[in-house]
Amino acid sequence: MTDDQTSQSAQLGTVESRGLTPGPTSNKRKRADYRQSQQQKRQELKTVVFEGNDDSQDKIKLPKKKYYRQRAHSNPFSDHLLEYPIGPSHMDWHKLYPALIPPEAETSIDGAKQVEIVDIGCGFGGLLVSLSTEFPDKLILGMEIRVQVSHYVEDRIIALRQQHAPEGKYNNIAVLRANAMKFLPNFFKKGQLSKMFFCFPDPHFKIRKHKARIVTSTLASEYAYLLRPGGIIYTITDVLDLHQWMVRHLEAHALFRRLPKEWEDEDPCVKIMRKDTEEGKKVERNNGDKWVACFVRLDHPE
Amino acid sequence: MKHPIQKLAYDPHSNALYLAVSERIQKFDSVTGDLINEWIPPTPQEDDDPQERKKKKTKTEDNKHNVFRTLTCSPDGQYVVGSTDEQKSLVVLRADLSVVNIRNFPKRPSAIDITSDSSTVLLGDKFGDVYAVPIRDIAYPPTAGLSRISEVSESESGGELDPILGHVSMLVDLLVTEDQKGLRHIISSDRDEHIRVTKYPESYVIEAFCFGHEQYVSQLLIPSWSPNTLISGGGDDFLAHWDWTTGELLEKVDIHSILYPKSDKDESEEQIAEVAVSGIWQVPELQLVLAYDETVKLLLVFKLHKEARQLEYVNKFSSNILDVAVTGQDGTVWLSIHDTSDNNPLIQKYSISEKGEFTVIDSEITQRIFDKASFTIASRDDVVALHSIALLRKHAEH
Repeated sequence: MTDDQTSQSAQLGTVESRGLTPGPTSNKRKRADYRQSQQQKRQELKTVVFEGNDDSQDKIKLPKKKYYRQRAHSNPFSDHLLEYPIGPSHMDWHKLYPALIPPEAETSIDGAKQVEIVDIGCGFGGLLVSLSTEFPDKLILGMEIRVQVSHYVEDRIIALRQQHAPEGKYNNIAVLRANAMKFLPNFFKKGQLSKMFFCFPDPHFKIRKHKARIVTSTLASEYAYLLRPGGIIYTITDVLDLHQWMVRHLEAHALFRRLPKEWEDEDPCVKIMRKDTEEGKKVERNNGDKWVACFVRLDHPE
Repeated sequence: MKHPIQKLAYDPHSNALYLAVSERIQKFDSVTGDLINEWIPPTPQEDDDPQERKKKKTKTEDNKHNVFRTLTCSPDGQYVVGSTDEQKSLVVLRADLSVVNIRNFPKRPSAIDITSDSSTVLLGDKFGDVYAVPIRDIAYPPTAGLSRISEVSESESGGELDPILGHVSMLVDLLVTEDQKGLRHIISSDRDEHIRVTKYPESYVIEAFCFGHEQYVSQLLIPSWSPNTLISGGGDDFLAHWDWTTGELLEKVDIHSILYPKSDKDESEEQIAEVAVSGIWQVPELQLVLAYDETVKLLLVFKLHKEARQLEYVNKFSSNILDVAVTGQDGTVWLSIHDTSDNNPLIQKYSISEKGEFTVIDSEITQRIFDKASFTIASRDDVVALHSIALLRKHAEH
């Protein structure tokens, strides 16, 4: 991640020394400078627990989305340089939830607070922020494969935590850069999760790319492993074809059953998912359709 | 020169030794050394489609052969099954090497195993998907009946298979196990570090993951005398020793220090010393586990006592090995040897001692097999890369 940035600023350096006029490069430079300073802040503040009465500290501004733009697609099969624990017992959750999980907490200890709700492909984190107040006593994790976007969410959470330090809000949400298709079981134990969100996933239209879709029958078995019986998979998309695909694959799976529309209408998360995700808002603006489907994890048939 | 024998399979019922030599399969009587039968792939028919023809031409020019990458006998000895590279096909033959079925897959098969009732081949592919392919033998139906045959032919013509489970990484090895109660599981490993334990045939139930590897996992073994034990290896500096029923890592057995013993030389002269375990086998009579590293070309011998939860290093044997076939008789094994010099036997039979020492035996029989085995090739260039496990190691993109 840092390599990425240094190479970028190095590039900018050469452009400047050649005496080229600013213009588009100055924007680039702004972005690089901004990212650099945010990076520093992030390193410092990541694991800080903000105290409620600490007014002397400068209020941190919410990050600006325009500095974190990145192309919308990422190849889930390529060997990204990712950090992930060897297994769930190696995960240091204190780093992500410094206010709620003490540093020495071994995740293997039963009774310790555990992540229960996961937003797969959390994008710019709109859903996370809304879920944080909806489920204040649950730990919620967003996972995002794109570096810049995950940085944005991280900065956003740090800023929110500081701004709301007196009320101690937003300590229960965090984000990780991760390839959820490959490494979810490295983070969570069997049956650890109660809710998984798949909001506006990459549709991968081409047939030969269908294996790259985040919901397939084979991945559904993995989600069933991570979800406890009674746990719920939420899906929403503006692509009808993808909606039908997800419904088909999850309905065909022996461990999932689709929940009826009446259930969807009652559930607060469905409301949040429709309104508070980035894509959800965009689709709203364009008067597009939004397709929702939710599935409950069944008990093992023995 | 002769083409090396890339895969071996031994059938203890008939003492038959099957060899996969490039695109062919040969069957030998391992007692007499006689060639019993040979299967040569049918030459592809000339298509009128000019595009098809063009495709084929480039293929032959590239010297890509449709070589067998896996070979195994069914537990009942009735079938021999292998998968090939270029055509991505699964070849199911009867013991007399007549064809039961040849099925092509969308992605290259990378691992196969057969259920203990010899009814189904489990096949993993380069994309991480696993398929269950029934061995539907019309010639010898287990319970002959008209209805059964018609059912078979109907489904035979039927279309594509759906994967029964899938990893999001190349599948490198898989096993299907059966415990005393008849419960079956699939254990599968991939090019990421995952080992997954899945119920079978209820493959939508993942029972556990075995966490501990940090590199690709290319080899899995469950010793027959210790059915809850799993031994795995690949790109890591160790063999992992698990209780696969719980996913518990019992121990990591360092093999790096055996493969790359510290010399007195400067440590600054450090060379790349990567481990690439390309084979793990068992010798049940002696309770030995063999592990082969293809970079150092060393076969390591370990002892696994039935009750002991420890894999004990016993000995090593240096040889350029492509495959090992264990006979299940008095600790004798067949080794396929990748020898590039002429006239050296490409196959040898060894007797292994309790202490892991290797002694050549029955060299006359091996000579007979070697004389009739394989087919002659013009040059070494006609041999595809046979040691390729090390290539599975991931290197950063940036």
